[in-house]
Amino acid sequence: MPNTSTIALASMTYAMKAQELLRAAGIGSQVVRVRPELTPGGCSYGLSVSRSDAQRALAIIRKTGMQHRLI
Amino acid sequence: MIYFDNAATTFPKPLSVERRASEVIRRWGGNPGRSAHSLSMAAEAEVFACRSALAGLFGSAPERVVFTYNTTYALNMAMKSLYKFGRILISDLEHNSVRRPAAALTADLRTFDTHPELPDGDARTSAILASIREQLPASLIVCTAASNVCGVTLPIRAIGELCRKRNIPFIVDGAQAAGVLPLDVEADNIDILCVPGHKGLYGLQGSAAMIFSEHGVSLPRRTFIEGGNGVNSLEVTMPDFLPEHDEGGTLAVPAIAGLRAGIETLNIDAIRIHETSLFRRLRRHLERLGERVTLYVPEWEGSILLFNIAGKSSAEVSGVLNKHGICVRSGFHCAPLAHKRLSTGTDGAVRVSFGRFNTVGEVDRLAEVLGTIR
Repeated sequence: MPNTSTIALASMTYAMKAQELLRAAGIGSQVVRVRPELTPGGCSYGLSVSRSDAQRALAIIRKTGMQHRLI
Repeated sequence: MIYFDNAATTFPKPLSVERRASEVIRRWGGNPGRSAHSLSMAAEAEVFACRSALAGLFGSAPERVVFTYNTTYALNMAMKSLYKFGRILISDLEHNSVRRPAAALTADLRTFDTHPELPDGDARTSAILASIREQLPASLIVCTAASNVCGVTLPIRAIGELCRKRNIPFIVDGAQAAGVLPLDVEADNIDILCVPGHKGLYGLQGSAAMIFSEHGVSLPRRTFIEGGNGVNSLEVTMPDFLPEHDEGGTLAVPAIAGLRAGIETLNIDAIRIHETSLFRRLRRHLERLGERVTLYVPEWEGSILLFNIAGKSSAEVSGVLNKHGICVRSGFHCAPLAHKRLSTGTDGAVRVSFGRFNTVGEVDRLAEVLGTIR
């Protein structure tokens, strides 16, 4: 089982915005390209975070109202 | 060369602007938002940083900053994506970047009176709002924050408040005000603010933006341009979220990077004080030339001074100045409405527009040459 989780976001812009928010909360992340077959519309970007931070990261992103999905 | 055409584009640019753009070209030349490789990511990081800088400057959020190639593109996109039907109301000082797209959208195009003859204050604001109310209902109001011809400003916040109460979308042309006057899309009730990168923000030509307030994002809009942007590529329609809803094709990354560097150098208050002092100095010089000189809206102070010299066309005056190495702009400045409102006549006028790098010595040299024109 991988030790990272990927949170898909609407675009690179949102991925970078989310990355800043997570960074401010002390959560490290990396912007990654999400495999097109995993997102309904095709090309998408997301954040890779450690599995231990995933739920906290999701909670922070959820609060902003950004479209997102845990893959 | 002495450059007094900063309303057209500021010159010179801060060295950091040149360096940042050059660094992108030399080191980070990837296409942003297209790939996950290092150069694409570095370019995207630069683009996002500029979105953040613009959002910070104008009270928005990074994802509500849409890059365009100049203010005219931004205004066309904003107006044509919002407009449905009915009257469009613009001010009597508008540039053709507002007037022409408005005229292309509707035959029911009206102008409201900006009362440039009145001193700035509550009475003028009331008169402007009264002129707007007289011509309602309108389905869209578009106006400049500051005239490119004479520098006169409009009470954007009050106009925005009226628009919000009447549920009328409000677009502001920030071509001359951005970087010179404080503008905030939320506090000023602006739906979409259109700004250039290459004027008061001291960035490069090829950079500009539409900046949305939260209310502006909520307004239903069509797309103006469609194409690839690295997002939802399998779908035939553009994404329904900003900024990708309005960004198709490759962005001008070097110009965007340069724009961020320009924004980082800004000290709006200091720039305004400096430019106003140059304005006052030149006005005093011109007043000493007596009745030969007509100053338009002389009670206004700011970054732009408009005048004519009796017996000389504005083109003749600018031609003489150019021979002495001084750049000013003559004619109608792409704003015939404003010239008509100011009654500059059939030949337009001479516009001197100051920038932060102009000096007192340059103003004195300009006045010296103007004094020799007979």
